[in-house]
Amino acid sequence: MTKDSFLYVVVFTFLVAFVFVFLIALVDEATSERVLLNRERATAEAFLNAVGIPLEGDVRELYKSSFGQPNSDGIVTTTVDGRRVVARQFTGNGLWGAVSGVLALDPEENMIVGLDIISHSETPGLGGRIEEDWFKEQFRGELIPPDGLRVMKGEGGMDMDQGNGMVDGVTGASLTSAAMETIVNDEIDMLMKGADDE
Amino acid sequence: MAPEIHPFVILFASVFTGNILLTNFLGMCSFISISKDMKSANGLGLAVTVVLTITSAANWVVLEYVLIPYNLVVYRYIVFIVVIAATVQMLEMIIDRVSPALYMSLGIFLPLITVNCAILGVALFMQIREYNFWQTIAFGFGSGLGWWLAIMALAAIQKKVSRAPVPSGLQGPGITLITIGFMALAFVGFSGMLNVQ
Amino acid sequence: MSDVSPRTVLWKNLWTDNPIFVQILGICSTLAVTNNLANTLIMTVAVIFVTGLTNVTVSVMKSLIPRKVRMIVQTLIIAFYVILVDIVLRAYLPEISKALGPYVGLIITNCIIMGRAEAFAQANPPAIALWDGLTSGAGYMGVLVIVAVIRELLGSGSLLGFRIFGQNFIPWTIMVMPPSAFFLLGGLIWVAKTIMLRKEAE
Repeated sequence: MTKDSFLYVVVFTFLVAFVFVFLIALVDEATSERVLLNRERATAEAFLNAVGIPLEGDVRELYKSSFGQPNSDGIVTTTVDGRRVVARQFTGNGLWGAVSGVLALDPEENMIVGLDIISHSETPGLGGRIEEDWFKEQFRGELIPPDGLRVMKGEGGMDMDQGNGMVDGVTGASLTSAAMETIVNDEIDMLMKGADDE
Repeated sequence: MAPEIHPFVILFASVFTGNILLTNFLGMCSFISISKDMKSANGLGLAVTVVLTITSAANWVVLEYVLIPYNLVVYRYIVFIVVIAATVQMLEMIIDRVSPALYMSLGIFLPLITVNCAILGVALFMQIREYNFWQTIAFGFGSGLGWWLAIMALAAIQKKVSRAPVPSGLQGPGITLITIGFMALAFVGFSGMLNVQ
Repeated sequence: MSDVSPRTVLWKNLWTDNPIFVQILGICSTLAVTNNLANTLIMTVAVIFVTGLTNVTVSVMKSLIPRKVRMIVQTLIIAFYVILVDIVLRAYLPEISKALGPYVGLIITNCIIMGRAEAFAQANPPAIALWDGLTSGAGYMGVLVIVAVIRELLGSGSLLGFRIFGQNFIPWTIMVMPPSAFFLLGGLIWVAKTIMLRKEAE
């Protein structure tokens, strides 16, 4: 059988493909449990970050001990410094794809407790900056105005005024900033309604 | 679940604000070497647009009806590349049979395209963003148009630059990259043009 | 074949034939994540890994691969290693894997890897092919890490997430945005080329 014969080419290509596919399947199988664990851990971390509980030890245990069972709307309730805090994982539309994260509210004080982003597919350096701390930290402690929070073009950097109902958007990413405004306000409505039901 | 984003928004965004070349840096290799004259830039731009639209649709079908149902998503890189290579090969054959004239202007660019990262990039982005069929088409077509627009603009600017006194060390790729930088800056400005909904 | 001693290969891949400075190859996949040094490091290490191992594999198998399907087999080998990297990142570095997103997969279309397999591994024994792959990757890494250091330092005032500049530092937002990568890379190529031209003149 010569190297350029049809049979050799077919057998060779098939064998190479088979070996590679087999090896990948093995590695994938071996790590699948870990990947699942990572996902649970990331979600637990997002809840804890949004509420402002420092991460220590096993985050999944910490999550279980900090929050009660989620209700039918997926809302969990916890108590921070004597105040009731509700939080829920949300998924909304960014500019390019789904943005998912956790928003935590204090329904009595009408205040955002915190926001964390779990996943998004916005452009790195533009819309992708919504996952950076400076953006997320602006929401912490922000009072919710009656007509909704606004993500604005500001001075640049951070908007630390918690009473003005505004946070700074991302430079060069007006569309992602506008999308975040919609997502957060929808989620505020959702959480407020859910909190009243209890 | 596909995100509920209107295909038109995706189309517009991928041509201007999120131009795949200027914000995601995809398809740079052939971009820099071809952008010297308008005619081949135009040919390559057209070829990329056609191939992107077709392969993104083909890859979507394969992903939705083969990879996801049979739990083979981990092999998507290999599968996407094979689909792209096969589509390009087929397109080349069809164009050759149907229109030799078109083949002369378009066909010679097709082999170059298989290794263009923008093509694989669009396939991977649509998988990660979980687009539905029409969103995928809009994204593929829009990215192609955006790429075409960028390479034409660059070729035109390059023509001017070739007569400018550029320092010897900066000639060639250096000045090209800086030109692209200014173009990217201008394209970021488009983001104020479209208000979502 | 030209001189392939480890030393000349190293010098060529790091400087005189640097894949980015001289050939402008393979920047697609990585340039987008250079606004963050940690992501850039992981990404370029992945490229080094894939280039090195692809070169070895191609070199070992070179007498077995039929000419007709050479490119396909090479692509298959590259894709195999890239998928491995992707799986390992997802399992052990989930944060980085999420940040890199589709860009890991784009290593497949990185022209450097295919280029080295075609130009070097195809004609040389495995040991030196490995060295060639690793050093090509290192040459690539060097340039992109410089870009990433400048972008993260000026854009966020930090390096690898640690604050370098004090509270009074106003970050240069432009450095985080995509256009700055073009400016910096253009500038670096300018510097490198000027030095090379001066050396040649002497």
